[in-house]
Amino acid sequence: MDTIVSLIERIFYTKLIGSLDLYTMLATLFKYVFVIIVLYFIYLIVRMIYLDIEQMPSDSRGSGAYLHLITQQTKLPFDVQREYPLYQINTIGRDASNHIAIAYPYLSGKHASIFLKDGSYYIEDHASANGTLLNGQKVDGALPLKNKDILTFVDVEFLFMVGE
Amino acid sequence: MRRPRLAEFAARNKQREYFSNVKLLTFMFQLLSMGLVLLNSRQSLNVNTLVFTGLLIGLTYLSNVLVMRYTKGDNYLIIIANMLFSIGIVMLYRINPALGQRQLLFYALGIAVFYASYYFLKYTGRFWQNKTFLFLGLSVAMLLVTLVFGRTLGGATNWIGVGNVQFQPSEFTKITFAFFIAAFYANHDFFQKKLGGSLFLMGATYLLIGIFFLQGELGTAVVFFAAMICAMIAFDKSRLLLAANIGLAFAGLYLAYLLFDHIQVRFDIWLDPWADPDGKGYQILQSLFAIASGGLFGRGIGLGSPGSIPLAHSDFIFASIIEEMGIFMGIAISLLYLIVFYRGLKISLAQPNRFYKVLSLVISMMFAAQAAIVIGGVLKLIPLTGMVLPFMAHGGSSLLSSFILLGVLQYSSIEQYPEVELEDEE
Repeated sequence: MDTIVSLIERIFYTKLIGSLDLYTMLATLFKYVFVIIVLYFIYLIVRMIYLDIEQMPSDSRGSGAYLHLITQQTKLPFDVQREYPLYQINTIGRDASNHIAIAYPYLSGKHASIFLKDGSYYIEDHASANGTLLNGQKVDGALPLKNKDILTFVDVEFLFMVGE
Repeated sequence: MRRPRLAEFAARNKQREYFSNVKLLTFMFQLLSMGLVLLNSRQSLNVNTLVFTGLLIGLTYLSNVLVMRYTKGDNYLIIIANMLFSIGIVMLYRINPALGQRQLLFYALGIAVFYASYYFLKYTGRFWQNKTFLFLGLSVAMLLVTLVFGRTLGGATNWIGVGNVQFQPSEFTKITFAFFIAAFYANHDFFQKKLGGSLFLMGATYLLIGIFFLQGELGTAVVFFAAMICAMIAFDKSRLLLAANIGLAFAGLYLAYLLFDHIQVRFDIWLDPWADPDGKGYQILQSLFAIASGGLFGRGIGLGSPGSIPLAHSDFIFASIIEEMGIFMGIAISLLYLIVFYRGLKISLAQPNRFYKVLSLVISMMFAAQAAIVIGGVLKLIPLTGMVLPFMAHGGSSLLSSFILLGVLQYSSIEQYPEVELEDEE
């Protein structure tokens, strides 16, 4: 071990020019290298994230279908989004745990759900107090949805859009 | 709306290529910097030091590869954590090889608990989503035990010794607290009806923060507060409560300033370190000198004197790094924490399951707040709080809890669609 240490001492710590030894030169050179490595590392990560975002369709998780609010938003005294993207399973109701949570007192806690089955969407009412209407007809059991169907939860109206 | 398949395939290939480049960069950084450090500490050169370097490179590489293979979800988190850790441990080893070796041991453990917490949540995740009181109870219990049996070190009573092992329960309280907030918002309806909604969350958080003030742990108190505020901004409709909270925080801080001596001291040092340059102000002044002498690119590894700052290996590792690797490295480190924060926000936005949505937001906020507080403290932008940088500084408890939180974040990055029973149709 001692021979190695003295060898290192001789190679890296002999003064070459003035008081400069090889170690100082290396350390000075490498400090630039380190900064470049880490900044390049960050650059690559950001590039990868950028690719990630670019790959996403406008809505990464949704199937393309969405609910569009027909009732004028400004007339409603509670928060409703203009559009709700639809996933595999979507529950609608007053409780915050629903996917589409609307704090409207006349909605039931778990009011209804829209789900995807064999490639098409269905609406199902969960025995809600004030009912769900599909094109003006009361929903009983699971009913299939087609493009531009009108869904009414109590008196909040949505248009069902398939998208693409 | 979907892009053509071919473009997607090309993008994925490109990503894979970047990924291997990133692994290569981490490897190069470790190899070059450890080479310099080993030359610099040539007197203590022996077989152990070479084994140390090999283990460091091997473990990092292994964890970078395994994350692609065995976990789903976000691949960036562990790579960035590994890079941060590499920068940290090189500096630690350069300051004190013994500390570096100890830290490597905890790193191995940390990688193990990262995967362990991932798989733990995978198999038991559903069970925890409504155990709000369990998490609150655990947090309070851990802190109270520390308050009663804890040992005082560096002005804060936050160490617990069991046999030969000593650890900081407050680091692990972060985990239970993050789960508590997540479980609270996942069961928000219940609390809204029975227990005063957000007032319950506020009460619980202030209770924990109160205990931290008694212990003298300013930093963790601020991190908890930031996590709560962040969750409230995102998931609470009431802006009034939010404003009340911020008001309360200022009032509470002022009250604490009047009541507790150790908090007054920290503010005094921050306002005027020159009042006592050889005593209380010594540490922060040394830190500022170190940063100033580093300049843009630093003095080079082994050419500075980071040992002159007290606690250069833990609380002040950021200053030591800037002294030897430069302001640019400091900026790069801040950027790395920023990316972790951004990833956390993105995970939270994409997650449909409310429990994991809140959890990932809170965890990423905790990392961000911790980094901001430490970096701000070292640069004397805010008073010192006695926190350490996650993943970088010396300290087993901090490293382990950070890796557990990262594992939880990794699991939260998998989108989970809740299952609704559809059995009532024939």
